[in-house]
Amino acid sequence: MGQILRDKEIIAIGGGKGGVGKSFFASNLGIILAKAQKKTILVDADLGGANLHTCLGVPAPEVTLSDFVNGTHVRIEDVVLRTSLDNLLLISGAQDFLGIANPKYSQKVRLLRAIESLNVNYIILDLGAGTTNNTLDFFLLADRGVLMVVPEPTSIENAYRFIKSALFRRLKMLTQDPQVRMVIEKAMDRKNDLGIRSPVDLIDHVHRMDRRLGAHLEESMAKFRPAIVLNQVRSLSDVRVGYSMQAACEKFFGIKVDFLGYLENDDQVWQSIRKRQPITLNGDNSKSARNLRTITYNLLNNLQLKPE
Amino acid sequence: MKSLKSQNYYEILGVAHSASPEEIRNAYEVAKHAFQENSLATYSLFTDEENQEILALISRAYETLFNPELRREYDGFLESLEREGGSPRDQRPPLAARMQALRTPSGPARARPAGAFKPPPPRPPRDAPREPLREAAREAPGDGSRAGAREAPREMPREMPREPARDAPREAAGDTPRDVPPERRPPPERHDEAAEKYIQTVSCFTGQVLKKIRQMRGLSLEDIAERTKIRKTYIEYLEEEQFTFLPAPVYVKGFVIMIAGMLDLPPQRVAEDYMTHYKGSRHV
Repeated sequence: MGQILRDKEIIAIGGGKGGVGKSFFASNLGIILAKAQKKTILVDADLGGANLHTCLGVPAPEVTLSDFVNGTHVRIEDVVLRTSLDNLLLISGAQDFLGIANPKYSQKVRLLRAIESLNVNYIILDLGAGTTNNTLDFFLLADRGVLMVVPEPTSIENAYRFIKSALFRRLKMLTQDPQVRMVIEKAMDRKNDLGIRSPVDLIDHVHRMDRRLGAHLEESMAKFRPAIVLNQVRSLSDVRVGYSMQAACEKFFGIKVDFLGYLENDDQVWQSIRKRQPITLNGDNSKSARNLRTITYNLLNNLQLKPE
Repeated sequence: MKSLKSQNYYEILGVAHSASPEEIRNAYEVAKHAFQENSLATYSLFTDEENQEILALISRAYETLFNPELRREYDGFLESLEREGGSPRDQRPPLAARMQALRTPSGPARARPAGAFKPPPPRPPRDAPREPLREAAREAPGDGSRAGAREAPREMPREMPREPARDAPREAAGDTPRDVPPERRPPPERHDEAAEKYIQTVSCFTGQVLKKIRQMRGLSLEDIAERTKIRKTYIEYLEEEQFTFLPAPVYVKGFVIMIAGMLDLPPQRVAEDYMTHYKGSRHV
């Protein structure tokens, strides 16, 4: 997708697991961009558990995304909130379920088109936890997808599950062939009877069924290039987890992953969350603020960390 | 994206073809760390066995690419594959398997340790006619401009994919018994006495001699090409000593060694003879 607009960039922040710092990173990224004179809108796409406004220190909003998605008479401008920064806007997510937690694909596309019609440079989507179709679709519709990961087994497993689900969903959308779609669905299950262990195997399998489609899927897979940010890093060996994940993704999923950077474990972060104040607003010289600037720089310039 | 076993050493390490030795070293350290035992980043994706296999590949890739001489040879090998290329991916045996075939001239016939790469399936006939003459002429020795052409390293393709690192388990590395000296190899089933007698009388292994022995052994050009993966036309030029159409000496030597292996001749002696002969006539 992504062809809809060219002067705006949609950045989706996901990660599979809850509590890994998605909203923290999204809100601080928004602030850094806004301070750099980029018009930025933060969208709380965590439909059902929205709390981005809390991270930004904005009081609980009266209008939210669900008003736009559900109400045909509500314009997107009506649900946009101001923040303490001129260049930073916010669309708060729904805080209750009310049938919005699972909008149709067409509703999601309509939503993104509407957001794109706003006068902004960057659109940051803060995704919910888990690998619901919802989350995956927003991730895939974005120009850049960033996964927040903490160097812990559960978080890494969830990140891989997220990558795999997103990748397979992307591949499935490329074909209407019921047989191929069935193969992709089967492949999602690790213990499938087709002997497909990894996406690389899947492509090989499809290639044997239909060479052209196989090549098409392979091409699409090569374009899928998520990024990772490591959070709560406590040591150098924690940082190495990022490089290791890159190597593992390349071998298992057959995809390249950009390692944008890491956030050191920082007491000031904890304090800033407690105070409901973004770290980049109250402590510009903290470790985390520096880390965040590096990550943002790499994200915007298509760069990544390199092992020394 | 190709499956792991069909990736070349650069792809295995995830480095660019132009990577510096330092980048190669860094990539190796990263990869080694990623696939080591109890690695956070890989335990949920790969089994221990798969990790071992990947580690062995990584070590081999590193050892080859970090050594300038071996890397040059390997680049030459990749180039020759590229020239040969064109067959669709699913019909082409995995790269690792093809390299395996290079390492062991009589490859597919030999016993393999468990976990080793499968021998390459027979090559399908090509549908598009090639243009060996023009292509070969472009690669003809004598231009001296190509890095690989300047000096002929000893023991070319036979040595190419080197032994895996000492700490890498041999089984997983797909190691074949290539270190068995030729004389201890079981003799071919039908040892033609006439051929043996003739070999005794040979003073210099020239192209003509190799051709004669091949015919006495009852092997066709296609047989040799199939087994060694050397293009048939090159074998022909080699036998006819059409030196101008042959690639750089370093490759020729590799070819001769492989062909000698197929004909059950002492590869080193044959290569020495042939190369002396070859170099002597190059200035003609």
